[in-house]
Amino acid sequence: MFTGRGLAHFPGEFNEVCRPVGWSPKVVPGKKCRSTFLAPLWARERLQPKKSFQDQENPRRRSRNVDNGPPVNALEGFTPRRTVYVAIDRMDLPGLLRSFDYPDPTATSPARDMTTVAPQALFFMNNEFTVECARRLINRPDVGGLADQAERVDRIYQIVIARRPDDVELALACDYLQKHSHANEAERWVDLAHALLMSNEFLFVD
Amino acid sequence: MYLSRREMLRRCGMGMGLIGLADLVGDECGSEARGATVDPQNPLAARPPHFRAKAQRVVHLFMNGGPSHVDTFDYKPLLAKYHGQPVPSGNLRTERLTGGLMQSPFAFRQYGQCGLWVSELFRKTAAHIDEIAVIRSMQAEVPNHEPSLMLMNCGDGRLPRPSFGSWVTYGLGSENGNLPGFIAMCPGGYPIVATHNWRSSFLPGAYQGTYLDTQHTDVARLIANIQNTRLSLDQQRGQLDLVRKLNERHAERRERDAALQARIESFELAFRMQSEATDAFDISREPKHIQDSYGGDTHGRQLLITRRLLERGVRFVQVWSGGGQPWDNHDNLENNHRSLAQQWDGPIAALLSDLKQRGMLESTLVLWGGEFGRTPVAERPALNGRDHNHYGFTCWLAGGGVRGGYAHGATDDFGFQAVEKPTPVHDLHATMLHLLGLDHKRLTYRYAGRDFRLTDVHGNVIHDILT
Repeated sequence: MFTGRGLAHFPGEFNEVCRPVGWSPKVVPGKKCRSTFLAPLWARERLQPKKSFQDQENPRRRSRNVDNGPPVNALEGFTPRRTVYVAIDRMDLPGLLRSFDYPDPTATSPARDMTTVAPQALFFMNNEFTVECARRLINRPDVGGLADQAERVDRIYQIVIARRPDDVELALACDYLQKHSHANEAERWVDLAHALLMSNEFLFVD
Repeated sequence: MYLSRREMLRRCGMGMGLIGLADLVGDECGSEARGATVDPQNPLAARPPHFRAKAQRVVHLFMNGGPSHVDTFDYKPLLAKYHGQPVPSGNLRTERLTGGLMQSPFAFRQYGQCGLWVSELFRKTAAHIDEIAVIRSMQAEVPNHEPSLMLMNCGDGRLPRPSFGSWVTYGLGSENGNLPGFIAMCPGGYPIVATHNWRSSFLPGAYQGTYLDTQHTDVARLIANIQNTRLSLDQQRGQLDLVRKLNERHAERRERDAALQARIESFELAFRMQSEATDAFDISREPKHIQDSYGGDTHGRQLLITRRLLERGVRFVQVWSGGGQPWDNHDNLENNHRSLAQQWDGPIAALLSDLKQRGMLESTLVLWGGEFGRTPVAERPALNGRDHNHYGFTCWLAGGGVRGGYAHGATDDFGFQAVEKPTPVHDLHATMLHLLGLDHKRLTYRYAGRDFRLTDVHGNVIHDILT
């Protein structure tokens, strides 16, 4: 699952219609996944927003940041590691996991469904966690310390989606900061960063 | 729905995201395509039933703990005659130690044109008896709460199967994309086995019940993330407009991709949902006489919310009596049952009247019942309560194509076990699916190499109960 695909084309049934995807179904990849995940090199690589871990058959995967534990690791102040193990109460699964298609822990699950439903958007829009991420981003010295508006927008873009904004995006951001009705200027920056954290470019990995 | 080549490959090749797999690649699987086809980007989209439906939505009033049928809807006059004596034909094996027969502490009388007997506990509900089909011959498998809850809710006492509400939402989707399709309300915490009661199990997570703790009245405490504490709706609109512009530019630079489009739309939906959900749960918007008819207590509030949800197109609403198992009255049944029934009777009657006045009752299927009933014999040593009884108990259905004023099946002279037309829970499920326009044998989901259904290999539609 961590690789973004199942063991086989039809992972729910290992029979003659099951065609392994690139590896033998005889090899239980759990151990492999585990060692890969726990390797510091992989963790560091994954933290870089470059495209080295791209799945070639599947060029646009949803970022798994949200559904595997402490997310948005590009931000300082959060531990730059993912949760590999987490205690699950089968009778009371956290709402966040439910919203993001975490499989029902009472049944075996051959593959994770990937729905796109409104409760997920509500999480991004209203949960204190996402706002806190935006706030921490703005409070970083390398962001908050920049006096020039354009430079600051540029820095935020680089941190969140690992590229510089083009002219239109820069104009949109400046326009937003100017017109946005939130009285407090610092809060407007938080709202701008929050908006970027809700963008598809951030939520999906190309 | 638009499917790009890449999207198609992604779904088929990866075995992810595609729900109702058997349909799209049926030939390849060598299976007969029978499951519902579900769009993973819009899993709650309304879907047509298999055949013309009488009912479009379900309310399940779950009296958790096991209400006593011989004290409510299954009148057994012989209990008074044999009070304190052992069952003449011998006691059946019970979960705990039980003694002689115990007469009902409640008075029964006949109601409606049908003349069915109902106890004083549900006299207001009984005013609607001509709309109600009482199934007096229900049977569960074991006298324990957990497996019986699972049987009633998921169609299997032991194995982790999807809940009834999840199956219905999978089969029919929902009529309102701005609200969850399947809502489970329980005041004061979870019932026994908690979220298992409304789980989706192997069905996609979108079909699981959304739990609301209805001891709260504030919508922000009922639905997660439904309100933004920092921004007004206008301010948030401004922020989402920016996100939308960024997303549109992002999408322009990429091959058209349903996943990106769906995410864009999900934000619009979520924005609308904030207002719609807040509105649905705000019962102060109801006229005073309606509020008064339901009463201001927890169950009245729950059922008024229920009606507002049903009116807005929510497919399945399950309303529980309370956390734990309130109806499990091994002791002091008279006081406990009286108090519980008092909390429910008025609101249930109000719900039935309200649905009827709005012309919604004929398309709304109402189920009342617990996971099992209670023994006609008293439990030792206190001898003032009743033990669990899975041999025979009562559920009732109303509305949605149900034959009113009808009693189906019967228990023996004392109400100990179903003897006439015994009705396993699978038959209840098959019948309710039938009323919803779904053939319980065709509503399947392929999992672990075979097709599954709510009724597994069981289930017969109870035709006697249909109009």
